[in-house]
Amino acid sequence: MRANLKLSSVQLMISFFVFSSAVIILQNFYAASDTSFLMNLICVVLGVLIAFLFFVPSIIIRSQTKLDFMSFAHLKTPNAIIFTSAFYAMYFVYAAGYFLVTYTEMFNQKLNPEGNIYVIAFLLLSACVYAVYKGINAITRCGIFIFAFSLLAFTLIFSGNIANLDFVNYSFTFNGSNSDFINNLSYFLTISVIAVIFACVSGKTKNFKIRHIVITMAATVVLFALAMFFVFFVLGDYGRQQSFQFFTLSKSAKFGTMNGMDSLYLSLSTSSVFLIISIITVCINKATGKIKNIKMALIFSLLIFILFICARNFNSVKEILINVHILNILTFVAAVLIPCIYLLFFRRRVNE
Amino acid sequence: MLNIGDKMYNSLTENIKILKESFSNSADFTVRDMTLISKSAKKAALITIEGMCSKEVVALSVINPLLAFDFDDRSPDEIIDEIKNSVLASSEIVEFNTMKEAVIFSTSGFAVLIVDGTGRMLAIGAQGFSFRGVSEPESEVVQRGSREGFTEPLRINMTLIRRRIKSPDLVFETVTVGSDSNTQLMLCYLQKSVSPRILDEIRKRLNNCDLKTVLASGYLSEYLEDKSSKSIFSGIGISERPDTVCGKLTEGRVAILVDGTPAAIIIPHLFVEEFQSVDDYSNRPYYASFIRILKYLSFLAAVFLPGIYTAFAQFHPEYFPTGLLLKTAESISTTPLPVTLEVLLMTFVYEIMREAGLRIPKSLGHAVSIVGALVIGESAVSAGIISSSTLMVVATAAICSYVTSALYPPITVLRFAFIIIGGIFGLWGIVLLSCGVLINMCSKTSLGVPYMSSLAPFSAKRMRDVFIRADWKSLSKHTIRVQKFPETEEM
Repeated sequence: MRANLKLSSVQLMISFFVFSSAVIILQNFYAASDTSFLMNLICVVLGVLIAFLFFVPSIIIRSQTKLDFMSFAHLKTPNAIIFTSAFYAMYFVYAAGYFLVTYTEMFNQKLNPEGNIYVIAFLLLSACVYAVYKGINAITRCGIFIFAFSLLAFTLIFSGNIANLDFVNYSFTFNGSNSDFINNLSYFLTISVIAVIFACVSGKTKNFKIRHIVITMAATVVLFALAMFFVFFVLGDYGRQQSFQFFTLSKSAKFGTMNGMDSLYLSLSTSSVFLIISIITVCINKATGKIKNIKMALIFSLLIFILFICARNFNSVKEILINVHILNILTFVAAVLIPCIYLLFFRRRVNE
Repeated sequence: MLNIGDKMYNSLTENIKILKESFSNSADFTVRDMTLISKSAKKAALITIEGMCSKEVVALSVINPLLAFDFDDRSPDEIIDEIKNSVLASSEIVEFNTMKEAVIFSTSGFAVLIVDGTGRMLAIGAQGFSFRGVSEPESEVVQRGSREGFTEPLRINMTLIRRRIKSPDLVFETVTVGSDSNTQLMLCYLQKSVSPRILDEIRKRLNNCDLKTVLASGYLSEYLEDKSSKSIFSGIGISERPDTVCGKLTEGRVAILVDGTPAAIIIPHLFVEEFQSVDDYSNRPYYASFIRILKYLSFLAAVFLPGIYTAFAQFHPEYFPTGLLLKTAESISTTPLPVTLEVLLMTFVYEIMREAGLRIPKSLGHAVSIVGALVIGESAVSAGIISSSTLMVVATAAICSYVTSALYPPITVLRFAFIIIGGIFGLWGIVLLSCGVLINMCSKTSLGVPYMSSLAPFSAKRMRDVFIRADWKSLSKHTIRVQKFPETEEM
């Protein structure tokens, strides 16, 4: 692993975009029982805006110290770092578990109900450990290819569905209760995990500009909106009865005699989740302060796998693990609360 | 034992004895004793290795002038000076005084002159070994461009490069590797273009090469690769074409010519270079770009096609378009083997045939082709052992793999891996393995330069010579030095 090499900021943002696209394609667009396109759209914009705000403390730390939050915390509180490290490591294990369980759930329900899900999870985690061994630079470079592939896949899926667009049953009206709104917002807010990742790796980035994050977030909103538009106006009420609606959308795409783009969906979701878990595992290493230690990545991957097994076998664990409210609260703590406490506590000595 | 740096004795007999011993009285070690015309009738000897020197040159340009010149009462050291400065007309005369050098020069085709009474010796250029002439390289054929390719002797290869870059900026630097073979290498670079860091690193790695024998450029590949980035792809480029090498030198790369090998090593070497050829720059940009894209698609087809076919046929037949699905299903249902095994078997048989075709005498090549085409192709399909769709997929992948022939080794290995993984895990396995391979490729560096440069790290400016080949006006605006690629490591 080459830890000393600087990471391109644009490359990191591209990986963040892939991250967001994975969230989109594994998203439940009908999270609330009574939901409309317009309400979802507002939730998306608001969700991405809040996710952007989650970046602010890390951006402040980075701009003032050229360090990421984790390095800043290691530097400022060497004695108490064990608690911060433990929290962040556990947070990332939880986040990785969330994405792994969501992905395998989709795999089991939609792609291969007979496939051995444990083998799938194990191999996916093994590939991620290999990626961590090769370092974050290799992962983000790989992200460029996944990004290019995702652009191609989204274009094909969307254009293959243009003929299926039907606006008859849907109007652009805003309806839905407050709880629906919060539910939907929570789903879209899961992308804010990238703010915590940024807090861990931003110190390694070069040529970082705030506009990079703004552009990434704007692109995420556009993609979210497009995905939602097609889900709502292609699937209609049928979509309400489906989980993982983007899969159904990809299946309904067609070009002439070629029906279904679900192979693209499978490829895109697998590669994106691979990228997500790899980056999260790198962040675990970073949180523990052992960025070069492959053993640490192995241990934590094993922990993620154990968490996954528990979630598969105990419904209560699964419910906690895939609860977006818990994930968002933890993300808020990791991305905003703890960095803000550090900023407040060390406000006069940030640069020292 | 002969030690490096051992000084020569002043006694001729002693020197000859030691050299004979070091060559173990080898039959090709030839000593021509002479008595020079001088007051003290000085003894001298000319050492040559049979077959390495031109007898005619030695007799006419060395022995004749030596025996005709009157050295009068000069001391042995003065005789050496006189010979070097006035007697011999040879263009290449090198003075030295160690045993090691005596061995290296004599085995390199020089005639070594020893005069009694001095430890100084002269190596006189009289190389005259037979070698293959300059011809068109078979592995890098071009339609529009030079027909010259490297040949085995180092000096001729140097000339082929020098003729194309007539600039004092071009430097040839000698390095010797192989403790037994003493193989001469020539580092070629353009002084103003090359990165000193890269050059130093190459020198360091060559110095660390502990091989006893270096018989081909391939021996050095492992020593030149970055240790930290193991991969089935190679960060070392090989070219048999002097024009290709010259093009690479202008981009700041270093070429290594190995004596006895008709190919130059080029480093740093990047993935996108595997898809570039001299023809691209001779053809019109639109056609060159079309060929480039064709090459990339062929590479992808060569690696993925059999694996994806296996995965689709075995796990996801619904992914085939309806018409193709019917044809494939009909074809597969009549064969006794599972698809994965069928594809594996066919690919394996193809590799055997290819290997046999490479090794057998050319006269038997046609026979193998006929057996391959008839037995494997026609008979296996008509007997219902192999489905025609499988045969077509394997054949297409095989042809595609030759479009980028330099990538054949990794393509072959990956193709097998994708067939196996596609047969076990379906498309999911192929995607995951692709991610693993991509990570491996993205982590690879060639002398600190990311192997996937231009693509990842992405560089829009450099894309003008990747998927498309921009016109010369745009290409010649800025020459892109390889050390300037983004995320290039400082070692």
